[in-house]
Amino acid sequence: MRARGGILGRNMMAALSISWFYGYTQLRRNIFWSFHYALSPLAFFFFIYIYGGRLGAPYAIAGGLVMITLAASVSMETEAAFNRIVLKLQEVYVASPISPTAYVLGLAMANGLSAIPGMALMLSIAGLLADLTPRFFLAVFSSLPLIWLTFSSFGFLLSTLARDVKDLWTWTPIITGLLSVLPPVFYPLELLPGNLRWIAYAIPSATASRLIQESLGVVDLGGEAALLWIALATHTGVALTILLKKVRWRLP
Amino acid sequence: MADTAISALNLWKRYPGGVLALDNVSLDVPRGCIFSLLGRNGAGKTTFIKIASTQLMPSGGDLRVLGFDVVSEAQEIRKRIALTPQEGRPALLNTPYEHVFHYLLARGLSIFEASARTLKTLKELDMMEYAHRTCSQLSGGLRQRTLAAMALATDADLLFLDEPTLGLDVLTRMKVWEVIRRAAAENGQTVFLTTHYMEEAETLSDRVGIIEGGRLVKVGHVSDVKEALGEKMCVEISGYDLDVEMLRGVGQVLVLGRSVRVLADKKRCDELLEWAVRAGKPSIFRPASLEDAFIALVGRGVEDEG
Repeated sequence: MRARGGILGRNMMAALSISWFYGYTQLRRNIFWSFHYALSPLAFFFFIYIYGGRLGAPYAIAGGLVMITLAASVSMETEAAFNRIVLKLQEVYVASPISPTAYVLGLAMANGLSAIPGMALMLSIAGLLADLTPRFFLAVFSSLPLIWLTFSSFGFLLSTLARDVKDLWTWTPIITGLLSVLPPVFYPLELLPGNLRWIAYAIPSATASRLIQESLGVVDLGGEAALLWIALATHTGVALTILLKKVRWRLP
Repeated sequence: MADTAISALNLWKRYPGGVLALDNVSLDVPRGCIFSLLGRNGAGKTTFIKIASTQLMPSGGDLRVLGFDVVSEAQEIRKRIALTPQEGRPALLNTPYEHVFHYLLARGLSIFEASARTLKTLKELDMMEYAHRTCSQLSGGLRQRTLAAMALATDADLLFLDEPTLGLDVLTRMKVWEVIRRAAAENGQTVFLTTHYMEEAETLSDRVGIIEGGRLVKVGHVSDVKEALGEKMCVEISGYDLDVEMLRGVGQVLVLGRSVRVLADKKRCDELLEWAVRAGKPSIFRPASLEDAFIALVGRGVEDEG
C-alpha cells in the first residue's frame, strides 16, 4: 500500500490531513482558541471606533483583518515547537514519506483555520460599517493569504531554533505587536514622516493593510497599488524560498 | 533488494557540543527480523535510531537502511520507514483513532485503507473502547499505545520503535509484543527497537545488540549474547551480610543492591546453592538470562541509572 498519486496531490492530501488533525479536530473541542486571535483586533476596533467613528472604521477593519492573520500565522512557531519538543510528533513525520513542505503547510492551514471565526466576525463588522465592493474581497482574499504564507514560514523557521517551548511563549505577542501595532496597519501611512514611508513596502502587514485600506476607499493609491502587490508577492516568495532552503528537517 | 535492513559500518556521531554519542558502530540487521538495541541511558541507542531514521546526520562512517544511504538517499528511506519516538506524547485534544487515521492519510493511504488499518491496529492493541476518546481522558499506558499504534498501523518495511512499551503494565506490554511479532512474521516488516526491559528483548528479539558509551559491545542472537558469559547458570542470593569476596571465588559476581548474582558452571552453582540453603539465605537457581549477560557486559544494571 504505497502512496499513490502525483507529488503535488500527495503533498496536498498530507497537508490537508495534518491541518484537519491539528486544526479542525482540536478547534472543535476548544473553540476559544479561535477567538483569542480576535480579541486584540476587536479592542483596537473598539477604541478607534469610539474616537474615530465611521471615519476610523475602515482603518480598524483593515488592521483587524491583518492582525488576526498575522497572529494566527506567527503562532506557528509555538505550534511547531510544541509538536517537536514536547509531543515529539515531528519525529514521526520526519521519519515518514511526508515532506517538510506538506508538514509546514498542514500546520499553517491548521492555524489558518483558527483564524476563521475571528475573520468572520471582523468581516461582519465590515459589512455593517463599510461599503464592501468586489475590490475589497479581492484585496482581502489575495493579500491575507500572502501574509499568512510569509509569516507561517517565518514562524516555522523560528520554531526550529527554539530549545524549549518557553523560548517562544513571549515571541508571538511581541512579533504580532511589533508588526501590527507600530507600522501603519491600523492607521494611514500618511501619518508617518515622509522618510518612513518605505515601511509600507518593507513590512508585509503594512503592505497588506494599505491595500485593504484602498479597497475600502479611504486611501487613493493610483499606480502605487501595483508596486505594493509586487512587494507583497516578493516577501512571500523570499519567505518560502528561505523556508525551503533552511528548514531543519534533519538535525546536523 | 538488499538482504539487510540496516547495515552500519564504523558509524560515529559527535554532537556539536563535543559529546561522542556513537563510536565506530558496525552492525547488520537482517530483513524481517526483530532487533533490539540495549544499553543504559545515554549509551547511544536513540542517537543510532535518529540517524537510521534520517532525523540526524551522522558525523562519519557508513549507514545504509533498506539498501539506501542515510545521507544521500534519505528520501527513499523515509518512504519505507515508520517511527515511535522515545518519550513522545499524543496530542491531548485528539483521539487515538484520529492520531492513527490522519497519520496514515498523510502517509498517502486512501481514506478507506487508512480507516481499515486504523481500526485493525487499535483492535489488535485492545484500544477499540478508547478509540474515540480524547487522549486527555486516557491513562499514560493508553497514550503510549496510541503512539505505538501510529507506527504499527503502517505498511512500512522497517519500524523504529524507541522504547515503545515504556511505562506499560506487563499485560499491555505482552499485547504490544504480539502486534510487533505479527508485524515481523505476517507482514515481513523489520522491527528495530530499543528497550530497557530485558525480558522484552529476550522474548521478542531475533537478534540483540548491546551498546555502551557509544560502542557496540556485543551483537548477535540472544543465545550468542548469553553465551558470551561463558557460563550458563545463575544463583541469586539475597542478604545484607554476604561475603562477596568469597563468592567471587565461585564465579562472576554481580552485586545488585541487597542481592548478589553469581554466574558459574552448573557444578559450582549446585555447590553454592547447597551452601546458601544451609546458611538460610533466600536463593534462586536458574539459567543465566539476557539481563545477566547485559549486566556482565555493561557493568551494572539499567535499573541503577536514574
